[in-house]
Amino acid sequence: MTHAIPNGGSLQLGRLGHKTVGLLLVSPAALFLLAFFIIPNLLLVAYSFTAQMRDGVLVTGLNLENYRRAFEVDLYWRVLLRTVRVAVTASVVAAFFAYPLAMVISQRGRFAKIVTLVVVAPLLVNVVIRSYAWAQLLSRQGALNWVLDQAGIAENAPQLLYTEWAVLIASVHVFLPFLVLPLASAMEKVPSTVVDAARVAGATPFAVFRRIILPLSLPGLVVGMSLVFSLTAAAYVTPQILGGNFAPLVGTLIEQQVLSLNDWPFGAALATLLILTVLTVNLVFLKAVERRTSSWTAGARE
Amino acid sequence: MQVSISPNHVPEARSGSGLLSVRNLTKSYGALTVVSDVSLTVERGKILALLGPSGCGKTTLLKMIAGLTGPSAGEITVDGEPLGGVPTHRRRFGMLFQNYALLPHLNVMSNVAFGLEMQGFPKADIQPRVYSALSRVELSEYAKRMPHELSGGQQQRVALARALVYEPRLLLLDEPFAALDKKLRESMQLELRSICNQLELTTILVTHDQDEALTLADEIAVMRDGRIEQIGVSRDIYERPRTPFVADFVGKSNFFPGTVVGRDGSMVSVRTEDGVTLQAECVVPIDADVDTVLAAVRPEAISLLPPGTAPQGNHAVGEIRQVVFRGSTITTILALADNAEFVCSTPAGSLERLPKVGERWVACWPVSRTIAMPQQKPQSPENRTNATA
Repeated sequence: MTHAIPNGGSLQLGRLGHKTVGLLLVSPAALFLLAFFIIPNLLLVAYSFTAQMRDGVLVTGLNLENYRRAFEVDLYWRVLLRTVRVAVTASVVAAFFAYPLAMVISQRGRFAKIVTLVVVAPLLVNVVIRSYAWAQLLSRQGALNWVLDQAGIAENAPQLLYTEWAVLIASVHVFLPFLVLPLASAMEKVPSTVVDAARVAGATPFAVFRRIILPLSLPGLVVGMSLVFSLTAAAYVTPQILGGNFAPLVGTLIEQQVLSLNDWPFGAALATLLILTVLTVNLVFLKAVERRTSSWTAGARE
Repeated sequence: MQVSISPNHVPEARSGSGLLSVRNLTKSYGALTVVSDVSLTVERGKILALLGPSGCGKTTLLKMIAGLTGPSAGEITVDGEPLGGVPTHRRRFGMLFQNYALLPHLNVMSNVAFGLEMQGFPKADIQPRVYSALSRVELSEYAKRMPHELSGGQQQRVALARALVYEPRLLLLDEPFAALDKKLRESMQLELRSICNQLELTTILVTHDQDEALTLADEIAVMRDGRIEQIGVSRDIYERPRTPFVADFVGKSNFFPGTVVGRDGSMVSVRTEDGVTLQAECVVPIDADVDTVLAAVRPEAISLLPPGTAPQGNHAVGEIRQVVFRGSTITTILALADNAEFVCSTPAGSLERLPKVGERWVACWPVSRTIAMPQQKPQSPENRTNATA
C-alpha cells in the first residue's frame, strides 16, 4: 500500500518506529490521567503539607501539623486501623466465597451464566439503594433479626446495622464480582488436560484443587483480592450508610473534615494517608505472591 | 456391532486373560451417540491403537476407560475387576496427552513425583523411582528444569516418565506425538514401543495417524461414527480390510466397483465397470444375493508394464496422467477407460523406464493382493451428524 502514496504522504507515521507510535497511542489516556488524576492528587498531597486550620482560620506555610494531629489523636488511628481491618477481612471473606463461584463459572457448565449474572448483579444497582436495602435487612427490626427471633435462635438480638459487620457484609456483597471474575478467568486458563493428567496420576478432587487449581489461579486471586481491598478501603457511601458515625471508615472521616468541618488541609492529610496505606498493602501483597509464582507463570501463559 | 478379537486374529495365543476388557460401551449426550456399543479386549502387554478420523469417538472411548467420562452403558474391566464405581484417581493408569499436560508450576522432578505422592508411595521410595523413570526417558539431568524450559519432545518424555513411575496397570495415549515434527515423532514412536514392550505395558493408543498406529500397535481397532469398523492385528487390518472404509483409511486403496460374475469358495470373479474381469478374495463372505461389490488393491501391490506388454493376472490398462518421483518410490496416476483414476506406487528402479504422460501402460497385480468387499452401506443420517467427539 505504501508504494502508492508519494513520499512525504500521511504514511510517514510508519517511519516513526514502534516506540513513537506506541507513545502516540497511549498519549490521550495518559494526558487525561495526568490532568484529572495525577495533578489533582499531587495538589492534594501538597495541600496537606502547606496549609492548616488554626482556630478556624486557614494558615498557609510548610508544616507537618496535619500529620502530627492524625498520628497523635487516638480516634484517627483507630479509624485508619478499622479501615485496613475491614478491607483485609472483606478481601479474605470474598476470596472464600469467590472460589466455588469462580469454579462454577470457569467450568462453563449449565449454571455458569446464571452464577455470573447473580455475582455481577449488585453492580447494576445504585450504591445508595443497595446500601439502604442492606440497612433494612440488618436493622434491629430488620429481616435478619426477625428470622433469628422466629427461629428461636436469638430474641431481641442486637442489630448489625451501624457496626463493622454491616460494612463488611455489604462490601463483600458488592465487591465480590471484582474477585470472582479475575479468579474465574485465571481458572479458565488452566488446561483441562492438566487437570485430567493429575486425576489419572491419582489426585483426588480435593488434591486437584489444592495442588493444581489453587496455585495456578493465584495470579487471578491476587488481582481480585487487591481490587476488593482497595475498593473497600476507599469506599464512602456503603460505610457511611451502614456504619454510620458509630463505625466510620476513613472515607467518612475525610468527608466530615472537608464538608462538615471545612478543614480541607486535614482532610487532605487523611486522604494522603489512605492512599499510602492502600498502595503499601497492595505492593507488599503483590510482590510477595509474584515472587512465588513468577518462575512458572511464564510457562502457564503459553 | 459387537467386535472382539477372536483367537484366530491373534497369531500367538498368550496365556492369561485379557487385561482390559470393554463390553458394550456406549456414550450418549442426549440424542447424540458418540460411542456406540463398543466391545474389545486387550491382552496383557499388548498395544492396541484406536484409529479413526476426528469425530469417530476414539478419544471419548479412551476417556471412558480412564474414568474421565462416565459411560452411558456398558462395562469396563481390568484383570476382571469392573471399573464402574472406581474413580479415575484410584484406577492407577498412566496417560499421555497431545499437549503433554505437565503441571506448569512444578519442575520436572515434582511432575514425575506427583503421581507417587498422590498414590501414597513411601517417601523414601519416591526419589529413587523418579530418577529411575527419568533415566529411562533419558532426562535425568533435567530434573530441576521447569516444563516451559523444555522442548515438546522432552515434555512428552517427562509426561511418559510421570506415567511410568508408578507402574500403571494400563497406559493410555491420546494422540501423544501429534504435535511433534515427523522425525522426532518417528523416533519417539520407536522409543515408546520398546519401553512398552520392555515393561510389558498394556497400552491403548488413540490416533488418527495410520502410520503411527501401524508403527506402534500390535492390534488396531478402526473406528467410525462411534463404532468399531474392524479390529485385529495390524497386518490383518492392512492386508485384509473388511470394509472399503478400512481399506481407504488405513493405507491407500484403489477401488473397482463391479459385479460378481463367478464364485469359487472365498474367491470371486468381479467384472468391473471398466470391462475387465478381476479375481479377488473375500475377507468377509459376500451373500449370494449381493452382486455389486468393490475390488480393492493397494498401490504398492501393482507392477507397471510398458505399453504393448501382454497383461496377465489381474490387470488394468490406463493412460498415464501424472508421474511423481518421490525418492524411494515412484507414484504414477493412470486414468482408466471410465476416467476413474488409479494410483500405483512402484519402487524406483523397478521400472524399465519412467512412464510418460499420455502413454498407455499396463498395471498388473497378484490375485492374492486383491480383496473384494461389499459396497459400504451408506452412513445412516443420524450417525453422520452425531459423531462429534
